[in-house]
Amino acid sequence: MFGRMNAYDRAIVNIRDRVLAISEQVDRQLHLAMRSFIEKDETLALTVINADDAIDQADSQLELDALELISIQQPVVQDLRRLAAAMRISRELERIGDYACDIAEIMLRLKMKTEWFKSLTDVPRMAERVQIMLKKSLSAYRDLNLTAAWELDTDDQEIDRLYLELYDELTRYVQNNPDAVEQAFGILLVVRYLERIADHGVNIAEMVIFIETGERHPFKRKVEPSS
Amino acid sequence: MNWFSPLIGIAGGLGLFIFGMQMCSESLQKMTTRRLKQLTKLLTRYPGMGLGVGTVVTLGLQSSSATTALVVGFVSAGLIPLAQALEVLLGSSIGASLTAQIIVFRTTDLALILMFVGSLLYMFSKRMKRRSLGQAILGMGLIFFGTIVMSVSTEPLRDNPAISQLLIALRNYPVLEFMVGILVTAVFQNSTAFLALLMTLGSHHLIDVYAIIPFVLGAHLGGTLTGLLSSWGAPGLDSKRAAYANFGFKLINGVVFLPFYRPLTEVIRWSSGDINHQIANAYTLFSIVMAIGFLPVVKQVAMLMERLLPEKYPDLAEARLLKEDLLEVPELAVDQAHRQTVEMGRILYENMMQQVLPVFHYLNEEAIDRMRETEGAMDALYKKIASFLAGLGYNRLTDDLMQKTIKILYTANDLEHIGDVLMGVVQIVSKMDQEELRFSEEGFEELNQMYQQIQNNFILALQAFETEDKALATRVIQEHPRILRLEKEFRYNHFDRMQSGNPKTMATSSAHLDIIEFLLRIDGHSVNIAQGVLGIV
Repeated sequence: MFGRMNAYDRAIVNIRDRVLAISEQVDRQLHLAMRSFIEKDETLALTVINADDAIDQADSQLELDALELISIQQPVVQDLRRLAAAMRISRELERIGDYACDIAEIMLRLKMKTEWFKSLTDVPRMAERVQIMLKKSLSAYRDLNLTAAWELDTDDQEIDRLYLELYDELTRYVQNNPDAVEQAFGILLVVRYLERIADHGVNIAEMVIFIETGERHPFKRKVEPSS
Repeated sequence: MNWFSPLIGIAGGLGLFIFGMQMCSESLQKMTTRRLKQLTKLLTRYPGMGLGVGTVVTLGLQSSSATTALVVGFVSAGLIPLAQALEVLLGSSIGASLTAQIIVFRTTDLALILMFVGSLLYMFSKRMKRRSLGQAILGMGLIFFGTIVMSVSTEPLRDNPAISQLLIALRNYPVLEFMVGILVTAVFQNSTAFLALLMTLGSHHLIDVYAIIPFVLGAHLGGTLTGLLSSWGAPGLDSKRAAYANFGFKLINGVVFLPFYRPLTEVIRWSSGDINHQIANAYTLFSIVMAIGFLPVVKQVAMLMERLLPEKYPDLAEARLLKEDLLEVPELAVDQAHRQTVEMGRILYENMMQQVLPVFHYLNEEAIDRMRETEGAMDALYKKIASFLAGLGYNRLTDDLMQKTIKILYTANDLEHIGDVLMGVVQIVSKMDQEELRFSEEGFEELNQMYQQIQNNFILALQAFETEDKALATRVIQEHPRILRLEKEFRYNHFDRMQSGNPKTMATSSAHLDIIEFLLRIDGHSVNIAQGVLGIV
């Protein structure tokens, strides 16, 4: 089948594959960042922060190449959507990579000498869910699977629920254990970042639907995720 | 006597006049702003050069306040010293008086021709530059037409005894006329508009030749009031210094020459027999007199202003509102942290967000250094707020206060992130400058528009956070989809431009898309802040 593709088609597929490659890097970053946070591993945190440049560069190179394709090849609507979506998804991934660094940075700022005030089981569980969500959004992108893309919205609501649970639990905990406040603040920020990462996963799913239908914000969410 | 039509004539005519000036000014600014940077190089080369530049630029921009704003921008950016800016301001007064000289030659035919040619160019040109030129010509036509409307509709007033009696009574009180001149010019925010009104009244013999000088002196002074008022809100001392000096020049001018208005009127009378010319000449005369009088001492005046309004280097990263001893009273401490976060937002707004667009226009290293410094201050402030909040006695905290604490923590975190993103925008711009890349006109306009919107939404979010105003917070959130639509539209406009092979857009594509993305991200943070106000975490 590849034999019949012309250079232009191959270039578009290549862009998609590069997005998927970036997603693997980002997935790994997020995983390592969470591990550094939970295990209080400063060296690992620094490794995560240092690896971010490579992702930024991969993202900007991808953008440049996609733009070049757009300007030289004058793609038809469908291909233009694919390229626009690829740039967008790559950028969403780059943002998620930034969040991984933010998480690593929180760990560095805490400068923890003591153990975590409680065993952190819920936070890694939330992170795991978020990562599963991300993987799902990216395979929806790879296979252009609309059904999976539509499910992402529901998955995100699940993450939101988890976030609120943790938020309540942490604030209550702090009121009873004032000594743990710095740690709790750190965790509160981390879970907030995780919740935002899930929102970016939804953005990716939206781009999948956009490729197929041209509709930009199919989920019509109350509020767009951000940063 | 029918009062309605003359009054509505003055109002409508003035409206046309001021609208025409704005139109002219806007379009000419669009055409020239980005070349103005080169002008500043000229300024510093020869002493006294500022006078000429000020005259020409003001005549071109049709607005001395536009010139003032520009030149103050240059000073704040460290491109030119204050003394040179004062030269430009003196020149801008002459430039404005030349506009008045042009208005004297208004005729209905000329106005209509200009409006015709202007609208043709504006409507049928595809090139941005020509459209702007058309807009400028149309504006000039409207200026003329506005004065003609005033003139025609006030003609019946000529024979009205009440008016002439009032004006004759005023004649014995030049100080009063001076005050009226200040007041009306300040209200119009435009001395040329007041001169046009004077000419209208003058042509119907409604004002006496002896009233000209008091009115004109008042117009000179009144024209500086807008700048003075706006400098109070402006960041940076240089705008205040320039505005005060400009006000001082004209105040001295008024106080010195008002007592001699009678002998000076003879000079004006000698210059021309027509009252229109006499008014314009009087305005020009004082502009030149001020230039001659003050030009030799601009350096001294600048030094004086620097002494009167000395630089204070505030430590941006100082969390002055967070006092450790307040931690004993959690309610107060949380309140202070809230206020400190609001202040952090203000610093971010004034020292970074408002500085980005000027950097778009003319990049300068010093401004970027200051922004970098502010970004560092944001990091420091965030850390201070977070650790201050961590010091609260949480076992005594009510649920409400607990929620508020986290809200503040999250908002401070968002502000810190916005600082990072703004720095990212500046880095893109500065990289483009190094590579000598420029945005296309349309692309630039779009970025500009989107920037204004996210800036407005940010300040709204900050206000909502400050006052805990839920309605305001809702507005911020409702604004977001509109910004998203704008983003989509601009993104696709951009692709369109690329496909039509605009080479300028090609080279700057990636930068353009990155900035759009960054701006969207900033708005996302504004939404976060607003959500916090609504209790959505």
